[in-house]
Amino acid sequence: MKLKNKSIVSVSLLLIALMILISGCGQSNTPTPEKKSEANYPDRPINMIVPYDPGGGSDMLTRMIDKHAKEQFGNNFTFVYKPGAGGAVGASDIAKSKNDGYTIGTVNIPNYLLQSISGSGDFNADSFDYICQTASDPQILITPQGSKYTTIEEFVQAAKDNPGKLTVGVPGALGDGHVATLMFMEKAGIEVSIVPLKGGSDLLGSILGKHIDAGMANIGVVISEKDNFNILGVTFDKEHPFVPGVPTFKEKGYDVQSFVGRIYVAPKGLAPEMLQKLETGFKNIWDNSEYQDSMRNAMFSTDWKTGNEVKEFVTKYHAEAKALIEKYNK
Amino acid sequence: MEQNIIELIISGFMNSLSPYHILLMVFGIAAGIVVGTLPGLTATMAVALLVPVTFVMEPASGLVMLGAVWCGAIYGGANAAILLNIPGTPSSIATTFDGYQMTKNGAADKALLASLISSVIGGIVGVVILLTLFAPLAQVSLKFGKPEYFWLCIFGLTTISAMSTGNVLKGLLGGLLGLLIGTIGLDPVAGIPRFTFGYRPLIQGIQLVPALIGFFAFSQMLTLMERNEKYIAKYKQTPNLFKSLVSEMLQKGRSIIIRSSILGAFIGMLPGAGGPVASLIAYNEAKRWDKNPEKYGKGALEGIMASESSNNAVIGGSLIPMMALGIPGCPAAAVVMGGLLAHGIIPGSKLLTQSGDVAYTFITSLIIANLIMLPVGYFMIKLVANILNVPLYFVAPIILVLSSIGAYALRNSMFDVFVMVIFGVIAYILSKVGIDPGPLALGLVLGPIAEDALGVSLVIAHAKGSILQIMFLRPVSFILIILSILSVFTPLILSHIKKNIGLEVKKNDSTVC
Repeated sequence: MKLKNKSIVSVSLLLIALMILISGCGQSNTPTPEKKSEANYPDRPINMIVPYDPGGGSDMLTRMIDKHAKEQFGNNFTFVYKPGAGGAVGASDIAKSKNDGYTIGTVNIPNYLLQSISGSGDFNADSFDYICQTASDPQILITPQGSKYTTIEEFVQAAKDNPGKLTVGVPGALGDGHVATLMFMEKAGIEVSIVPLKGGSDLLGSILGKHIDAGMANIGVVISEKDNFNILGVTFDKEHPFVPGVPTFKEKGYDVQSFVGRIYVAPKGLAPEMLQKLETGFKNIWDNSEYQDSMRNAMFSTDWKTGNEVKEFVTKYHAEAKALIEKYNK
Repeated sequence: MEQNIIELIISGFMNSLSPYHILLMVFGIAAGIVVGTLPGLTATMAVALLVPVTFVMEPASGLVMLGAVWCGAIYGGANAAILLNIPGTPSSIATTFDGYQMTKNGAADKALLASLISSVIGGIVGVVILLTLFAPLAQVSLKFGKPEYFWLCIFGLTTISAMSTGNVLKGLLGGLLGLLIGTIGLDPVAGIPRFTFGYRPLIQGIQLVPALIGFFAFSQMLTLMERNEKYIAKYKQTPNLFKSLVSEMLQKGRSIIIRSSILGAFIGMLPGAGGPVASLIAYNEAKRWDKNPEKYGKGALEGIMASESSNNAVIGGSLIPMMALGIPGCPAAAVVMGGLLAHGIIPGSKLLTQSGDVAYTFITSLIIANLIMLPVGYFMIKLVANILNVPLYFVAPIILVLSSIGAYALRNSMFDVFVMVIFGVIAYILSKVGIDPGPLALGLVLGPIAEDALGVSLVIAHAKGSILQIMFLRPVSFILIILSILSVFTPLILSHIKKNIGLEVKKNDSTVC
């Protein structure tokens, strides 16, 4: 009997060791890049790291691109899901991948930037080469039905009269809505209590249930219920097609520009020819009317930016957000 | 309008009864049960894996399949819970308490069948509630603010006192340890990492599923291996079980199943609570209202019925806020919602006017899927129960490997495998001193929800200038506080009364959870 017991232990240890070995191999097995392969790049499937769960927004958006990837890149993408810590785990994986062009990924402006500021990400804006942005989702300031505040002016006045008394829900601590609210506070010279909730759905529920005075929500998450709350303003640079007639913060005198940008990135140091090929391929897919239709159906607002434009915005936003977080969170 | 809805329901039934859809459901349920049974592969993951497949299908067909997978996976979790003491999905933690005891008593097939029947009934009750009451109930779910969530979690935590009769102190110790583990990672309100000791992977926190696999599967296998027995438990098939069991369940537990199902649907409709919370609370309530609460934890059929009917009722419940408001009630519902969006169907207040046909086909198909689950599940019980006839020296290594794969597959991360192993060893050592994994898991499930709710409530209370008003004086909070106090003290009072009338309260041995 003793012998049998020992053999159980050893068999299980062996199997576990084998598993660790196999999974370890999977990571180190990526072939070494060859210089001359740039001309016929890509000649095999490209790994696409999605730092969120399968079935989530980033996955859906990338799957829509993937539908047409074969025409542009010869193969479909190989999806690798690396969820965790609000995307920081996957973003870190992208940054640390081999820059041979066969591993790229999707991250969201500004989440990964804010993670690098708050200390939850071991990467920063310079850890990536930027391919493009395919879609964006700005924030809107909303108040519950029956609220006294239906315009930005009324809200600012109320916040000035009662500093710190108004509660503004945001979809997550140190996320995009949080920073947009800080920008608004800074530019309007007001003080509100920021309530960090657990994502857009939590925020929507808190507004519909009237648990908070206002919310800084991403359009995409709440737009289907837009008849059930007031929209005060949008953090876009122009009128947004999803909320026609809603004024921008900018035209009300507070230059708040903030949105979730769905961007595609590669680890830093990709050969320029490869980066160009990727950007062109993505642009061709983006221009496809079938792609545009599927995006519209799923309520995503397409918004193209080239790699360079993305980089420019990222640099500016990073500086502004960092200053604000250091000011208000200390 | 009324007429219209009835028409939609009828055409929904017609649609979901087409041979193609029936075939999809049979496949979905079988696949769901397999995934649910395997420790580490959760219902959410089962649904998520199939979402991309539905992109090429008609919207209604895709949803029918997703719903079937979901039902199957939530039920399937019970198989592993009963046979191996390993919750196949987090929703079946409470099923282990009595299910595994029944297996040890040689009544495995009875436990398995009871969990199947309870799941089917629970699932159908949940969907019927969804179908008939979802508009008003969605409004009720909105009344639940963060303070109410906090108190609901506290109420859930009081289950520990019921879970560990005779051993409350050790139960509390385990619960506190679970709560402590739940605080590792990002602070939900400040968004800043804490208790990570500078070790980066800890920023994401200890994930529930790998920790649970460790708590239950890994430590359980270590325990089994040292027991030096050839089989997990003796198992002999009982002939003609179905009929006698149904009449036993009808006699003993009609009210338990109905109450647990309603509880499950209600907790399901509160976004963020979900199956694990529902089944634990339902288990606690079943025990509290029972005349002989001592039998729980020793192989009581009622315990299985409560846990399994409530966690399947969560499915219907969690679709209530999703259908009515576009707010998914649990992670799996969020994935289904992603599937809806990908087909251009937007859940929320306009769903019924814009895509009522698809929505009602989906809802009614859940009833059909639950009915189909009865024969499919029955057939699969015969298969999975055979694991008890496999010698332990085959079962243990295979379970360990499956657990490792499950932990890894969750996020393709080796870190989670290490989490599983470490927590498995911790749970094994703790079980030696009489601290069971149940309270530990409960702390880990509820801790993060409670902390987030408390943090947000305090921010709001600070802005409004009154902690008393926000935290204590809202009606729902008040009721939950009273219930929690009752829940903590009932076991104490009961044992006190019994002592006074001369009945000796038997101390449970520490292995009973």
